[in-house]
Amino acid sequence: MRRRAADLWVRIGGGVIVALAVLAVAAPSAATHDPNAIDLLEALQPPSALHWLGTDSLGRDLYSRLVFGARISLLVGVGAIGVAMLIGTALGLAAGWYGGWVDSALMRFVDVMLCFPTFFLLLAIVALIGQSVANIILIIGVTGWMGVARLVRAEVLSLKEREFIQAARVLGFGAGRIMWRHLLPNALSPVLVSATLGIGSAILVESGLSFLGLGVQPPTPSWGNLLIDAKGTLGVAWWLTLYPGLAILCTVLAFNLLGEGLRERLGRS
Amino acid sequence: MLTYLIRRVLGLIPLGIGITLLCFVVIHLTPGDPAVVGTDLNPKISLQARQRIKEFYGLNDPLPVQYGRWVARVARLDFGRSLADNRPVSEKIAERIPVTLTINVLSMLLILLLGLPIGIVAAAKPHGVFDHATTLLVFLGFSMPTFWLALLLMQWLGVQWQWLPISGLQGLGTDSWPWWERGWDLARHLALPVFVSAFGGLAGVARYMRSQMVDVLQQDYIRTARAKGLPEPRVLFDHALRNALLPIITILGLSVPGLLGGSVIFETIFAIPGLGRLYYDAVMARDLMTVMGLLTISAGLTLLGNLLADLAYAYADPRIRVGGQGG
Amino acid sequence: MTPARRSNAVGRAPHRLRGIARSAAFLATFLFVCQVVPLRAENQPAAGLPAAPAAQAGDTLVAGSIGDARNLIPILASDSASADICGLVFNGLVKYAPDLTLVGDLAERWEVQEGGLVIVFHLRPGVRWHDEVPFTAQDVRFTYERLVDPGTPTPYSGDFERIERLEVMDELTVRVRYKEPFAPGLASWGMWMMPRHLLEGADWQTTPFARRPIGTGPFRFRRWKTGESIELIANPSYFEHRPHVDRHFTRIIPDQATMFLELSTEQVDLSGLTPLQFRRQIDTPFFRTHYRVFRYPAFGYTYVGYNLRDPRFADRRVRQALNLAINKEEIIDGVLLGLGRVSTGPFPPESWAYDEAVTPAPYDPAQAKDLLAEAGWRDSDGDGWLDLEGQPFRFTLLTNQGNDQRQKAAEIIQRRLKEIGIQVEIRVVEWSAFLSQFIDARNFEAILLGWGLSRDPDLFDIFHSSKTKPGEFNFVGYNNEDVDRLILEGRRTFDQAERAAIYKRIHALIYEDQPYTFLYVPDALPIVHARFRNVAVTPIGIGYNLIDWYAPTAEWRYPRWRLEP
Repeated sequence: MRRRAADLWVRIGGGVIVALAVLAVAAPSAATHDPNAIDLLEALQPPSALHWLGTDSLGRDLYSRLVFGARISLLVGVGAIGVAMLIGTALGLAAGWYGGWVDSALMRFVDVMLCFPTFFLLLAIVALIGQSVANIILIIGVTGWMGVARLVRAEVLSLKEREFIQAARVLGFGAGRIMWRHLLPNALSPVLVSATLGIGSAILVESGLSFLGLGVQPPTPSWGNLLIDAKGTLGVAWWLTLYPGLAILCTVLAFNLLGEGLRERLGRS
Repeated sequence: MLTYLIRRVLGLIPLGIGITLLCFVVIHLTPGDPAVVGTDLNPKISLQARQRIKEFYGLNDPLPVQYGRWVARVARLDFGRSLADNRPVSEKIAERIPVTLTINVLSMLLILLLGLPIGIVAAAKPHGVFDHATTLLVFLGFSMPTFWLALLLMQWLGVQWQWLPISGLQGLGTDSWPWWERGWDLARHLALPVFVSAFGGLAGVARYMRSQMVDVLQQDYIRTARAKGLPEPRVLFDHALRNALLPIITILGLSVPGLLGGSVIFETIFAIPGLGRLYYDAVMARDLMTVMGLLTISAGLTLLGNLLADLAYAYADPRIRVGGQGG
Repeated sequence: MTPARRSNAVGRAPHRLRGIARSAAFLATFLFVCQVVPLRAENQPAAGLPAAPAAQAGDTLVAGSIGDARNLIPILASDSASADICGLVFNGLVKYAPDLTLVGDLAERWEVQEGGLVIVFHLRPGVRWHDEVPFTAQDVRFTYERLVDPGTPTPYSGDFERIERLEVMDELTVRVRYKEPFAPGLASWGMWMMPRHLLEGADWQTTPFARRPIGTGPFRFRRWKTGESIELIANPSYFEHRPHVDRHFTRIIPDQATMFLELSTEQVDLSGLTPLQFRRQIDTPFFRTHYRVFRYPAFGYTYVGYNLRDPRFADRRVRQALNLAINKEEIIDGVLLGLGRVSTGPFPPESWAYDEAVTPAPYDPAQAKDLLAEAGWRDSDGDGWLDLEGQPFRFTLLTNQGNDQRQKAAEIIQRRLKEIGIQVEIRVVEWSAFLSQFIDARNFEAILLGWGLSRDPDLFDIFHSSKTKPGEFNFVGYNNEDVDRLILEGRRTFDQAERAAIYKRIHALIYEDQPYTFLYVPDALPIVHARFRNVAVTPIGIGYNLIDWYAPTAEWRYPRWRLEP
């Protein structure tokens, strides 16, 4: 019963994400128009058979821009969390495995990082180093790895005492090999769950940065950018406000439900 | 309790050092010359700003000296003067803190008011209809771009139906009104921002409360209580709640930085002059003095939040005070 | 109100860039920055000018501003929000009248002597500062001395550095002697005057005056809630007459969408519209009955500037080809929704310096390609992009972040140039980085920017070849001996007809050279609540007669918010 309920979230969330990923990968064929093709005669058209979700103020096809935007948003979400996982896992492994002063130093560093409002750090760094897609991925990752580090460390601490790890140590395996072959695979599942939740947050963060004018550079159609365009047309072109917002909402929701479902499953198994 | 307090405060010292060190590093990470700032095309102004930054941070001195002097000033809450308008940074921050704090405290209260019951009731019948419905609801809030929700609500509640004011903190010309009218006016202005910021934070508390309750409800003493035939509400609220509630306190302490960061967006859209807006304006104006001051202060506020949470926790759970380091 | 005062601030060169560059970032303040020309109120005919005698004193005018003010010391106010407030609190010696002539403000009259070398100002007697201290010639001298003091971080000193000396003849007479005849000199005295008795010996960094200004203007400063609002109240002893409205209240609303929602609920009385709002959002019964909308050309233009140190752009044929390949009409339609006009040079069409004989080049990609081929740019490897000596023609077009119109214009240009085989990469950079890393460092290939103009056509700061040093405004590095000579001649000539002939010549030369591709002159689109009467468009905008605006008692929106006696 419980298992089934958790599965439901996983299925819904996973289904939406898979569909989205397919759409993003197939964007060139899934889109009906060139996402950046300007056609002033077609500006601000409501949804129709020709433009499924309407057009923006330069006459660009919103549906096509959303489809291509999915690429950017997913890329930012997955990329940023990838970076965060990389840093967080490495530091968490080191802290948990070596313990002692390495552990205290790293964990104090995590504490210090957690004291800063992440969004403050993000804004400052983006404003300083500029807003390319790569930069934004990197910055969201660099400011968001602390949870992962704590999680991995806790896993490692509990795994360290388990027999198979003890056995590996007795057998004289090197630290690197134990971490890579034994600790990492076993610590990975909770990390993946939290990463799933993190992807949703990263997509939201990108849209927030866009809202403040510090997101991915236009005309790149990230979903955040599409929503910003919508700000100026509020009340004139409801479709420009509605669809990009819904796209973000559904995607982030899908990631959250998936992560939550996975977590439930993990907790029960 | 006193020794515990002292121990906790002493525990903050390394964190304080870490925070200031990190801030200090950030200053020096600024690409190129940290003193290249200013948004003015006027070379005189940029020159002066550069001079002031050099002076304030003593950029020509050896690094340890720079750091030492800077920390000494920070300890006295002296963050220098803003490059944008020459006012002392601490003064600029001080006048913005009450607004941001009020909104965040209110939204935290709202989160607790809604999140706790949702979590408790959901936990009473895990995977029931209510549980699913509220799970979806709180995640909806968590997944919604804040500014999008804000724009929609402003459009509907503010313009379409005109129930609530759209932005700002105060109706025009209300200064001379009697206090109850002013209070009502303020409440109406705060309604949207507080709701928007609370809706996003609901998921954390509600989900956490739910999982805590589910765990607690599986404990032996709850089974005992139920076996004794105690009515279910008493089991839930007297026995389970107390124990499930404790960890929530820590969550609240930890949520301070998130709330501060989130305030950037909703303060911009609701035209509320708080810390978030100040920070954003400072970043955009390259006002390094204000940026550094705010980063340091916000980290300090987080520390304070954590300390308060620890103390509240210790107060609620005597074991902590006696036992080892909490949190 | 503001635009009127702002047009006083003529010849404050640095303000020009801040002017448009900023204003576009801060759209709502746009109308205050761009000074104005012909009268084309689109929705309503301009109401008859001067004040109706039956004006009732009372009610509050609520202005919406995107940005907060920074510093209200007149000579340091370099952002548009601060300048807007200063314009209401302070006066200059002269100001522009609605017909674009210079008239006295704090100066009652003046004489220009010795062929323009000397100006003698006779000050208006009986003028008092808001603290009741009389305004005298000492204040003029004080303001001048602060302006030219190298320790003062003012961007407005340029025109005043041409002064040889300034003498106080008596309490109400000032004699200004220039080093050489300087035509823009008179207009530069639109600079707001500062009170000596309050600022003598003050430290610019710390003086409370920056946040509590005291001037001679129609409104007195009351209160500034940082980031929230700035409240000014009517000056009962203003030398013209007390403003009819009790209060001028500026609300700071940082988001454009929020601003429009506030307009939709009548919580803001005066603001600027975006072209999209003008075209699509205000044609509703609500807006037709509650607001009046005005439209007139802004006194400024938007352009693409090329770094002429770059060998590709050093070739004039290339620049001319770019001009032919960019369709300005299309940009105006797409970006401004038709609310603007093609620009052909450094003056807006309303200026007396504008040369009607300069006709805008047609959109002609074929001819553009021919010109480029002539300059050596051909698609020799058949990849669709033009190349020369193996290098494809590719450049980065920079513009500042926060300006939707410029970003869209850049996207349209990108597409058109792609059609003739030039690859354009767009980079949108946050304003401060834009200035420090690119403009000041001369580190750009092409930029899309705008200039807000002063009424005087002097082009020294923007196009003279001596102004190419870091921090100066000829950042494209334009250098034409004839233009240099004519610019200097224009500064020395006082007769307007003679000056006009000189600037027309400059206009033609610059258009021939194409250091910029001139794109468009946007329209200013202010919106004012309909309860205010006496609001009218003139060549200097709508705010010049703010003290005459009034709302009939029955229509007051803030009847409870009276001015306590």
